[in-house]
Amino acid sequence: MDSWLFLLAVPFLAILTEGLYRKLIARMQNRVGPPIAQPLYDLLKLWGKKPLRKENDPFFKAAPVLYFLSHFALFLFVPLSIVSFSYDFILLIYLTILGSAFFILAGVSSDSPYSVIASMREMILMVVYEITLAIILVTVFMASGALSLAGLDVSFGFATLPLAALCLLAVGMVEIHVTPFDTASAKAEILSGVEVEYPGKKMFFMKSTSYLKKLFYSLLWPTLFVGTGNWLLFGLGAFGTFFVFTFSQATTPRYRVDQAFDRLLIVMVIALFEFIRVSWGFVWVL
Amino acid sequence: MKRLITIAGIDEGKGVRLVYFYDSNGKVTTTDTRLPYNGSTESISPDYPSAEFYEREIHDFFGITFTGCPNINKRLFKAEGDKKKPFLGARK
Amino acid sequence: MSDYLVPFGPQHPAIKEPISLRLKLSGSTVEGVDAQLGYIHRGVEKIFERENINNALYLAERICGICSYAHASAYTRAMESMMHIRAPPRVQYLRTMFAELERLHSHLLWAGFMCHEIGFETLFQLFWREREQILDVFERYTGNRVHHSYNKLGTVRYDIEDEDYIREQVHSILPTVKSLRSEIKGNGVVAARFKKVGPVTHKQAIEYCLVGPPARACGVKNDIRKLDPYEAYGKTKFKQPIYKSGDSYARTMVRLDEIFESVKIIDQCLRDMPATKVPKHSLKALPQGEGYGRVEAPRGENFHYYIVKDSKITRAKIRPPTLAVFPALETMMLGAHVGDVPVIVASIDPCIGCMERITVTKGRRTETLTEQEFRRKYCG
Repeated sequence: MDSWLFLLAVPFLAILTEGLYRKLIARMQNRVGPPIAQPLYDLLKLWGKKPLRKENDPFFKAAPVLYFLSHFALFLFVPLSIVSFSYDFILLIYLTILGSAFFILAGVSSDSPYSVIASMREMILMVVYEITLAIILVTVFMASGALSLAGLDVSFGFATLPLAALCLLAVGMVEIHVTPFDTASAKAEILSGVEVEYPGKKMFFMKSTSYLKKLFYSLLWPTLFVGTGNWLLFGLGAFGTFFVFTFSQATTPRYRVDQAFDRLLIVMVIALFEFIRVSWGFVWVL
Repeated sequence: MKRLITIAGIDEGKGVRLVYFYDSNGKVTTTDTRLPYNGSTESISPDYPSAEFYEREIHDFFGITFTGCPNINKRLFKAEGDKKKPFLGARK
Repeated sequence: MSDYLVPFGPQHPAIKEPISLRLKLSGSTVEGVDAQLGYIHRGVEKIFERENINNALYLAERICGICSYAHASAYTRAMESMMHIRAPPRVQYLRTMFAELERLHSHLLWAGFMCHEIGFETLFQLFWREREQILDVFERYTGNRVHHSYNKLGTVRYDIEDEDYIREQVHSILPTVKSLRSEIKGNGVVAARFKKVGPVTHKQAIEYCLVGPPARACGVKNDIRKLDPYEAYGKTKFKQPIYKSGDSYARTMVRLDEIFESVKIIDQCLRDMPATKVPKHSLKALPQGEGYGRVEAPRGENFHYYIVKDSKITRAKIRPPTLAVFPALETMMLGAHVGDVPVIVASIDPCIGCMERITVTKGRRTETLTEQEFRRKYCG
């Protein structure tokens, strides 16, 4: 019962994550940065804005909410298994793909050519990173022998599966749109692409989903590779992942879409190698 | 080879004077041509591709035609369909 | 045959000022470029007519914000050559120093902008932080950060008092810029985004008569400060950085290297300036004249040509450096990926404000006109 209460904490944790992210980047850039509660103020402001024109497209109206719900649902599995059953990690893969599909739908149903370009870029990259994510999840479950996230007994999994751990960091970077892989929502090139046409309440959902994603991938990594046994270590793992994402955003430029695709293909090959290694039983035990 | 710096058009009341500025090894040399209004002359863009922009500008503003200049009738600085020649007339 | 025409501009976050480039794409490769200019054409050359030569100096400065001193320098060079007057040595050194300070601020601005294009926000912030040191110098000595109004015909407006301050501020940027330069040089993603993007061969550079850093990135030595020295450049020692590859990476490195050369020139000016008095400014007259002046602006060769009658300008022709580089833009973009287009446009350091020359001022009244109104009112 109390694990359901975690869902209430998720929005605040997401806002905290985003606030810390912005503050940390600002400090790295020799700036003061916004207050940590800034994302909350942004969201409150967005909720109150009226749309500027008549929107007729049902997909345009529905996509942001669906995007938000599919990502919020992910927190039912990670880090506390509020809902669990055998092979529930496959549902996890499904939900992430569904979330990205709603993102693409949001871009395609906007009227702006920039949104369409952004969706196209996301589609191109999705081919690689979603498969990689699936491979990594299956590898982890194969290595641990568990069938569901509730029963996942991983201790220092990043030492047993180092390559998979690194690949998950790369995949996380693409998912949460940080450089070097944020081609699909490049602020300078395509005006943040998919989000550009969404006013007020719909933008509220788009933005809050992007905050949720940051939180989710910061928590997914320690769930799979540190283990939920020791909460202190888990917290350190979460913070470490978050820091890697922030540091990457601050210190790298952005790849062009075809370059990003090539680099992610290499990541996929590495994940595949890890998968083969585990499936043939070459797992070294800590 | 000389480097083309620019081509300047000057309204002299009786016609248009074109001054071509070249740079040969650091020294600026000029060539003058005088043409009647709405006159035409040969384009130097086969030798100097960048002359296309200067010639189009002079065509837009002075009405001189440069034969052989690519895209001469495509407006560079003015909107489509604008027939006025801002550099001629009123101001002397 | 191209598949479709994608508009790049006139409003786009990747370009600072409005230009319209219609890209003919085949798949995602650029096959042709259709340029349409004139979005901020202000009729500058027309406004120069009927201006007194002393007043027109202020107009020349305002052709552009970032290279305002370059335009003022070209104007004074043209006028002084027509009047056959030579500024005294201290004034020449002061003008050289300010021109180099402007080169510093322009290159730092551009470096930040270039990093912003590829998403490297941190370097963008850090470059602009260093630029603030230079703007502090400007503000202290001229009262303004960008439009300095420092030149006058035959002299400069103020003499400088505290040379150590300038030296300190300028040297304070060196360590950071050095480390930022090595970051750009060594970063793999930057190399992927800049190398082999928008290439121009040496032969094309000469054919298209390129000026400034884009030409120096192809191996063409065309620095006006060396070819046709003016002010105190003949007495200062500095190198012109030349790279051979002609791509966006080479253009970036040329400008970054020029930052260090500019600092050397400023040091030499501060050291060699004779301690004489700067003449007070007075109005000048010129009954008749026709002449030109050219300077090496941060973006290349800035060329001004004037015909003067009765101390009034009757014709002004201004050829800013971006206009010389612009025709080569299509060559640079042929065969490029569409995602490279912002990088290529940014790498030539476009200053569209210089390139097009509406706010028409008549006496003391200012009026802001749409293009229709301007044409109706002022074009014969």
